Amino acid sequence: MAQSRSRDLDKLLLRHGHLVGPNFEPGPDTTFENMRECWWWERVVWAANFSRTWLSRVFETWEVIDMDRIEVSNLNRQFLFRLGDVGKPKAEVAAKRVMERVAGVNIVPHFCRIEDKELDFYNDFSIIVLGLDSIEARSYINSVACGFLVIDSEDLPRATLRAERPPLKVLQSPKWASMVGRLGKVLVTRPSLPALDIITATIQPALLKPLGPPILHRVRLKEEPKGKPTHSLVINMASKIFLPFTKHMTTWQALRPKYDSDDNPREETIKPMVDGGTEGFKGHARVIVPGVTPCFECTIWLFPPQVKFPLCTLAETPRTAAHCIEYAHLIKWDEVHSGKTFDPDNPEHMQWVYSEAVKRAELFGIPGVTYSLTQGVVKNIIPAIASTNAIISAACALETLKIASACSKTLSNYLTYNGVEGLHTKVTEFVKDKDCLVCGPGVLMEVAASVTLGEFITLLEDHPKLLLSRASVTHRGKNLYMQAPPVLEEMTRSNLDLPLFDLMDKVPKDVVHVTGTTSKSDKKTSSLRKLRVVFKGVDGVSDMDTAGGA
Amino acid sequence: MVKLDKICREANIMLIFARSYGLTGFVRISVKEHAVIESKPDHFLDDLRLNNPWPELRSFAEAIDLNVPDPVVHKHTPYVVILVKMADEWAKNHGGSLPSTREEKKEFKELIRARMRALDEDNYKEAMEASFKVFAPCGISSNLQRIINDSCADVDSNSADFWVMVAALKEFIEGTGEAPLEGSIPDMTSSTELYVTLQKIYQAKAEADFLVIQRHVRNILNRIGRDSDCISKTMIKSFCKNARKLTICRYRLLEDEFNSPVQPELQKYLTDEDYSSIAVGFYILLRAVDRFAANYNSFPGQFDGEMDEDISRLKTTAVGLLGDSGCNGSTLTEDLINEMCRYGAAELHAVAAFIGGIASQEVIKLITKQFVPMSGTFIFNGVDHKSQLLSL
Repeated sequence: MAQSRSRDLDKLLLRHGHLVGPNFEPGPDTTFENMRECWWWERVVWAANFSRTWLSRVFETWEVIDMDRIEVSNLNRQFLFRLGDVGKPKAEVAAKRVMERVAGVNIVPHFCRIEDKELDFYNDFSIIVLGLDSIEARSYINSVACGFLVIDSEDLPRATLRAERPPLKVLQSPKWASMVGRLGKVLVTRPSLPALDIITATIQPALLKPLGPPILHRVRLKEEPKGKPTHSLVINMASKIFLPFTKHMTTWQALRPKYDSDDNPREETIKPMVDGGTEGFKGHARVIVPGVTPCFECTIWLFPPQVKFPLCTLAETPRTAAHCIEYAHLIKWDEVHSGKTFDPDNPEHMQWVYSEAVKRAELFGIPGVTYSLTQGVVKNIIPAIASTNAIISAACALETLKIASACSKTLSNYLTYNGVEGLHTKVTEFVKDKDCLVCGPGVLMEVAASVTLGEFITLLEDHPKLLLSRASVTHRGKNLYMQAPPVLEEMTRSNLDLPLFDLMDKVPKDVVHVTGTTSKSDKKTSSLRKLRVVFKGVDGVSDMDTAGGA
Repeated sequence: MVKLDKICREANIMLIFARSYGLTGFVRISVKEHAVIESKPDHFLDDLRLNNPWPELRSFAEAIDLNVPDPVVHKHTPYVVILVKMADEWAKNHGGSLPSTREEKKEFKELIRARMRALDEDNYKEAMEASFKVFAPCGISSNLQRIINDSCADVDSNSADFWVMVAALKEFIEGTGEAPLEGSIPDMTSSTELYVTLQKIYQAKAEADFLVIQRHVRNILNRIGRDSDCISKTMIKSFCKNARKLTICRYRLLEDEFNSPVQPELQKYLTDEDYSSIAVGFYILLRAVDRFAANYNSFPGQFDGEMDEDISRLKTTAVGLLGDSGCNGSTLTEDLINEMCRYGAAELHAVAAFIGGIASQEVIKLITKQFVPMSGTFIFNGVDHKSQLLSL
């Protein structure tokens, strides 16, 4: 049953290819045990549904987060929902429908805002897929994912998933050795450690001849059910160093490829994200690998400034219907209903704004104010076309599969799509911003060893790059000071007078995470930032590798 | 595919091909002719006629004094008025012509800047930014020129309504040198009163142009022996509003494309390093796998055991296809051929959804006759998403 269901996908997962991603290992073990994937979506999309069918072969558990309830206007394109579902939480209904449709898949829904979940919740996932509809939400989740990123002191990336849960399939046969020339890689099985030496001795001469010495690129382990360990040896023809395999952990470390000493991310802490968005006939899809590709903040300059009407135009010289509507919405509402928040989903409020806009338009002789235009302007409604949603979400689903299985090269790294005039797709390879506040190594904070936690928090408020107020600080998962909830605040209040150096286990430098509020152009947003704290005048630079252990 | 295409073309049915194959696929529309009135392009220059104001606009501008002492009034004069007056002044001083060289354009901008009295006069800033509209050439775009010169514009009793209106448009343009005025103006810093008056002037001119076109349409319909009321007023109005943005899409028969592709284009694609060589590679291979299936009764790579033979067979088929298309000597990369065999005619959900989304979007455009449908063959590249439109 499972065989025929994934017959088509198998062709990609079980066969070698030339245009594949790095570290692609075809084989039935290309299912990653305990891999979890988290999907955020404010819009349910076509391909997402279909993709679950075959991605379920690759992923064990899925989780879906959405804070919205189903509305009637969603039904034209969000096909998992029916009329009877209106009013129910989107996440729950979507999960239920997909599980009914696809046997064997497990989806856990969460009906809440993404900010409501703790950081640990996100840390469990292997891949995060986003279908969000605001810059703030994307920014938040980007900082969460990049917050997990740890930069090595040796500046080496390490792959967590593969190191800790390495599936390996190793075949033993000289025939494979002869295939090296064509494939560039060989998978070698060996039942026991000593035998590996024999095998490599056999293979090595064959490999040496045409292409030069092979390298032990990566070794992964997998415990067989019977307790019999198998080891696999992947020999990558591209490299030149060959090291014998002795004990798994230490050898794995010895086998780690070395890079130059720039600040490079630790691969094990990398949490890839796939993000997509649509508007009318246009859309985008991108792959964010924190620390490697630019994160959301690195490319935030891509967003055009938001259209705002100057207040004097609204107040004195309106010219268009939109001016009249915004006048009623922004100025008149507060005058008449001071204190009461305007709720765009409340039909009475909307009707009031519409009638006020009409009055103003009549006063100035401006035509064109209608109820639907009022809704459009106030709610900032952007048209959504089901086919564009399908295209972008299909692209995202495809990228997720490719990231998870490496069965093909991935998108690098930003796809724009425009279907207004003909059809245009373009892939741009954006470059990471080295000084990015979010995915970079973290803002450097050089402080004296005697500085207290309270003083440190004050520093954050005035720091030009941060301007973070009401900061809460965590270090390696431990809450140093939390502004909320009140219970935690009381518990951690005593830490404010203690030296930060002591609270951070007396390490000379380490990473802390801070959450707080930043205000950008009068708008307060919650943000999460990573800081590199270096204590001045403390001797000894210890290896971040061995300190504490991630 | 070719057979279906012929049948649909004869029956005048719109046809769209869509196929997903492994990590690749294609979409191709095949319609004899598709005329789009409401093409709704993203960015299109507004029709302000600053370079050629008609009498009513000119007299409105003349009645306004730019040197008015009141600062509030000064900064609420719409930039349209500013530019019309300044363009007139320039023409008077330069023998009736408008700024054409770079220096002249710069000088014109400086003249506008000189009139600014304060730094916060947004209307003058807008005037400087919009000054290029004065320098724009009069008359119609080459696109529109091509349409009115098209052989279908010589209408007879069988012509479609669209072409009857194009014929009317042709007569209008021959008479006035410009397309009918669109009628809407963009928002600009201005007093409400002036802005609304300006709006009305533009709307009145657009209405006048529409009436002329309507008259032409009626005459032509009479001439070709059709009822002069059969094209509705709303349709003609929409046509006038969108006259500058009309588009015609014509598609070659698949048979023609396969037998005699546009050689220079094909060569260009085959030799392009970045996007196109993979796209055209997939294009050739997608046809090659069909030929393969016809010869060997299965798709390459469909069965696990015969990968090696399939790879070499597919290569031969592809080379043969290239030869038939007139590109002897060109080859496709080994990687691509291997990749194609690897797919083994598999259909992945995500790729199918992507192709389906594109096809459905094109269907929407064709049925609603709004927005411009794509031309050529869209080749989807799921490997690195560098998809491409090939016009062959």
